[in-house]
Amino acid sequence: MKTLTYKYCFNASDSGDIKIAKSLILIISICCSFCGLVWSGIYYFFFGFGLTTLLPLIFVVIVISSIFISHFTSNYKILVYGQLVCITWVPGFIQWSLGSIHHSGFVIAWCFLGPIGALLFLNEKEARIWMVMFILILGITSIGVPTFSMDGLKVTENARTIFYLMNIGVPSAVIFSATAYFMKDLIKQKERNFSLLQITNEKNKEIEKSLKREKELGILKTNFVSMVSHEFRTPLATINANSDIILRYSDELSRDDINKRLEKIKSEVLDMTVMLEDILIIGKSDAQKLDFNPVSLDIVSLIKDIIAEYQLSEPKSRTIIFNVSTPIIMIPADKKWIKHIVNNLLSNAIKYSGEDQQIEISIKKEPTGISFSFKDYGVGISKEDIAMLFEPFYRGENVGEISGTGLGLVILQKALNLHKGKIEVESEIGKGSNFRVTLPAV
Amino acid sequence: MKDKIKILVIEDTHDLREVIVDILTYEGMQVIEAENGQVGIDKAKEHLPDLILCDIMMPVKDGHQVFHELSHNIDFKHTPFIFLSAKTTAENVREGMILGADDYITKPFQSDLLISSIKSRLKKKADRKESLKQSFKTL
Repeated sequence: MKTLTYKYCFNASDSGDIKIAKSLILIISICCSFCGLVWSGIYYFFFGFGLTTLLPLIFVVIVISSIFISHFTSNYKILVYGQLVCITWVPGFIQWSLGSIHHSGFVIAWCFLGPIGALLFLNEKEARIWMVMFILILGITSIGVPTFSMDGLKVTENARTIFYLMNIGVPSAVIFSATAYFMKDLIKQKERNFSLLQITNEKNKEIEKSLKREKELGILKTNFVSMVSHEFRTPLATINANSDIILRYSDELSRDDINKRLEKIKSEVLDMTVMLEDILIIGKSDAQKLDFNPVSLDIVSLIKDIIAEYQLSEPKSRTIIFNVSTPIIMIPADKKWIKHIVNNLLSNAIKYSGEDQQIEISIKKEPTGISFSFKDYGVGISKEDIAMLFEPFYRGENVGEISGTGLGLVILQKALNLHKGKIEVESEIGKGSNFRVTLPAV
Repeated sequence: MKDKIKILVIEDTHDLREVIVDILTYEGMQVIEAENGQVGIDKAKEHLPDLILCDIMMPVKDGHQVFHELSHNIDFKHTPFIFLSAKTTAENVREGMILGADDYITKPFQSDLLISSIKSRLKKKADRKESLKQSFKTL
């Protein structure tokens, strides 16, 4: 069947849809031919050879000819037109030959519907309309058929039923199924379109989201740049004013005074350099460019070494009380960043507490890793300041003359993010602060 | 002996405040220091300075709040007020001037500029006072 279809109907250049359409037309043609032959046989059986026997045979000849012509002309529409002629006019002629044209209007009406439906069918967009129309007309036809016995001698009730079954039922069933198939295809197509639309909408939302994020990042960047500019201007003003004093009032200044001012300039330059380094680290972390090479190390001895090193560099020693639950705790960490975290917490504890006040450091093994805390009894931080503590350049209201860039904790937070660790702050104004860092073991 | 000119310097950065005080002292002025906006307002009311030099971004009360509060006080109606700030955009300067400040100096500043700005505001104030005196005499 497939080979036959290919041989008589298809061209190599036909698209998938056209091939399906052609196949359906071929099936309808074969069905109609079958109906015609059976119809002729029935007539011959009941009434002998005559016009009513011949007409269905003509019908079969037209259908078969249309198949061949469409093949030779490579125009499948001829097949459709052949169908149109046969299904429309042949039953009409049969009715007329029976002498009962009076009541056969509905049959002729249906006869148009089949091929028109097939034509519409080729235009897929109209398939749905065709379906509805066909179903409606078929229903009306079935209900509205009067008893076919005008002359009382031609057709029996059985023959009429067979006529309807063959000429209406079989082709309509085929067309109906084919339409259903196309409808399924259309629905699938629509579903594909819908899912494509959904994907497009999601993509659009993603694009909108990233654009929004990009915009926010742009604003953050601008704010950061303006903050940086602001933070650099004040020490620059101090440097500039001190140099102006040296240049402008050198006659009135003592050697010591000049030296003091030069020292001040040097110290401001040093602070600005530290701030610049910190800003560079923040910039790198925003661009995900920070070096992070964790190795398994003993965090207890590392923290102790860092603190010992820090104390050596400090002019005045402070009392540090260690509280370590386990002598060795191995965790994966980057030594450079741990040093940064510990140095920052220790320098803050020293800076923001009195010289005679002790600092307590405890290191604990936790079920998921380790925790270490730095507790001081210094100036403390207010609740409002704790909420803003990790914002760049933010400094507590009560820091007074204590120097700082407001970047240390920001970098500490970045270092902790690299380790997937976290920090908690407990503090009370005038009573001191406790910074607790947790690092995971894996 | 003529009283020294009193300048109130409101600046939260200790090192900068110190160096401004030094410059103004070398210029023969008496300087009162304040480390934040609130202290600045209190000291202004206490000392009634001839001119106020004020930073903008400060804890407790910022420069704008200080200006707002003092400009509503009759004692400071004619006291020259100069902003000294690290906020340097054209909008920042315009904002400060629209508020009614007499000048807006951006950081880092040149000492010459700071001194000349202070002196010219003081001169303007003195001239105004003189012309008022003359007006009274004429009356």
